[in-house]
Amino acid sequence: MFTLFLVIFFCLLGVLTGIATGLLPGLHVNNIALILLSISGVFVSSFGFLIDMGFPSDFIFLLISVYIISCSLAHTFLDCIPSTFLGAPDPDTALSVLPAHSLLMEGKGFEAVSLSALGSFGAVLFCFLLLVPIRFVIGSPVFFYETLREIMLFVLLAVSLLMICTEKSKIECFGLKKHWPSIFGMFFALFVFLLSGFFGFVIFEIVVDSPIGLESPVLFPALAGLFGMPTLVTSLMTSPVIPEQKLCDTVLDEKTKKSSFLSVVTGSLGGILVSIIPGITSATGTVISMNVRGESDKKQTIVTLSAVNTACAFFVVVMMFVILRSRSGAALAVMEIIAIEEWSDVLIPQYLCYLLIAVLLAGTFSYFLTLKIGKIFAKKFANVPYTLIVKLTISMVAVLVFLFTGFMGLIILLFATFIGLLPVEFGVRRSHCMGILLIPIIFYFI
Amino acid sequence: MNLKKLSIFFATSGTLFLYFLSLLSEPVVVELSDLPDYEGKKVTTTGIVTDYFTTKFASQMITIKDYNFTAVVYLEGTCDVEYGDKIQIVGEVQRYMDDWEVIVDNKKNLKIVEKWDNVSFPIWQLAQNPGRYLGLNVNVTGYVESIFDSYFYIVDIENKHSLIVFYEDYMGLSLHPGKKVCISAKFLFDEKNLRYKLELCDERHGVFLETKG
Repeated sequence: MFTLFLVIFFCLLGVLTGIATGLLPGLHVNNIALILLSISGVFVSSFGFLIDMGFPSDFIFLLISVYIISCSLAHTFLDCIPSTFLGAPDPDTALSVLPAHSLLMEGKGFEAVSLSALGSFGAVLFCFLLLVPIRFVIGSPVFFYETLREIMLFVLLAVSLLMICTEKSKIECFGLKKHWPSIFGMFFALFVFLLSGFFGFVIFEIVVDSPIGLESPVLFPALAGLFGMPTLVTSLMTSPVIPEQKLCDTVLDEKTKKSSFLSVVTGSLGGILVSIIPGITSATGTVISMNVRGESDKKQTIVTLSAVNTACAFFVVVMMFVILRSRSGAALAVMEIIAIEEWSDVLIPQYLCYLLIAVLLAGTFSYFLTLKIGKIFAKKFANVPYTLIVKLTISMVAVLVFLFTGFMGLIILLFATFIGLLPVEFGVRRSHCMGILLIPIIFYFI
Repeated sequence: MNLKKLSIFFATSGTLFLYFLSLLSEPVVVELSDLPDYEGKKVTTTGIVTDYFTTKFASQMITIKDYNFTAVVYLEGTCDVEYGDKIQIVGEVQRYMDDWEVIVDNKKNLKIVEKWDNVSFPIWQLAQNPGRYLGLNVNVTGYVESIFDSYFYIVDIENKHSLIVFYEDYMGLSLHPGKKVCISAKFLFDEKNLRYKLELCDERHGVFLETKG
């Protein structure tokens, strides 16, 4: 009984940390996991008294894993709050406005947060229902992952093509009209994809070093630069007038309920795919899901994106035990801490059971906390010194990058930010920047 | 210059700048015993293969040793290493449970710098540091001393060290006492008799007569 209590306690600690990290804009959940991993030694020593109480050291490592997984899951719920309320561009000048920002401009920022929380929680429940069937499909007897591995090169090429060919932005240049702006849009998407890929090759050859002896993940400055900083930088340059936010609870009509259910299902399936295929992220999963779904309504995009994010965070935990591979920073951290026993029978391995308890609890807590905190954010947002927060966030990301990866990390962050600014400035999808991982992985499979 | 043009200029020129920087950036070369100081960092290190196997996901786990320090190399893919080969790897240092691992994400980052059968050394070199060669394929030179049905002894020129060599009958070795030989075999410890031994147990193992002897 005390064992379960400890699991719940560490899950709650993880959720609280996930709230804090999720509310900080510009921090990717994978970076959070790597930061947690590098300070896991502190946790082990802090909870060393449990060994004196008769708990094996393996159990303490499991508790740290519960903490990391709960934190990463809570982060996927909470990160919708800063991404909704911060970084909104000036709608008159911006070429692309994220769906959440669009709702914010209509005074429906809290609705965006509610929809996101709904998508995330729906994904947790749907993924739990799919747990055992997916295990049999991915592992024995169907061995879908083995089949997928054999054709992984073509899968990755297909995903890349899909991302580029479904680019809908139009870029006008040389005064050409008709279908040319769309073609230029696709070419520009291809340019961003290839440039990010080359950037990926380059940074993996660069040695970064933490000035304070921490682990130095070179992807930290690169991902923060590609995906976190551009929004913050552009939001500093614009001064959108954000209307007063409506705080009423979101009531879904029958049609929206059905549509949201479909978004959760397609988003979760997209998230599961992301947790299996290396190099693709939730953004890519969302593109796939939205194409499968065939709807581009901004509210349903929010539900789908959140479902993909959370389903991915859920299933990377399961995939660790089925295919013995880590597909996220959190999974990588956990695989370094505990010995993973392959889930090859019907019965779920004991460690996975504990982690699933944590995922379900963290999902439930995070859902209600996201709604609560989202409401507070929407209410107090007008009084918040917006520019100051953005400046502080940029400084914090830069300081963290320096602490983890040194001066070289700052250079990578700077140039990654310029690459990340390309999609924002030209209005193409930001997911093309995932070429940073996709192209090196494609070359690995060639 | 507006932000659009600035981003294109700095994104491309910055990537090129980093590319040239990466050409100058080499991972630090470390001894296996220094791996704990480089956790999470990319290093270049060398060691002798003492064990290897291929996982079901077509990756290879290679145990390497340098004097008394051992580390596991996790190679994404497979390569043709053998017991006793000296390899150089470039990869990221990680701790897995109680072991130190070097994650090599590309086959190109593993080089066999010395095949075990290209290097031969006299028996006294084994005697000086037997632990270093234990479990490895070795090429040892010495003089045949006495011959029995399934084993024989070799000694060094000064008769200071002697070592037992086991072989299978089917090998049909033609040996004569006093002849200088080079033996390709696995160096093992015979726990039952508390002694080191050479065992010819692989198709690449054998006894070769030295012409100058």
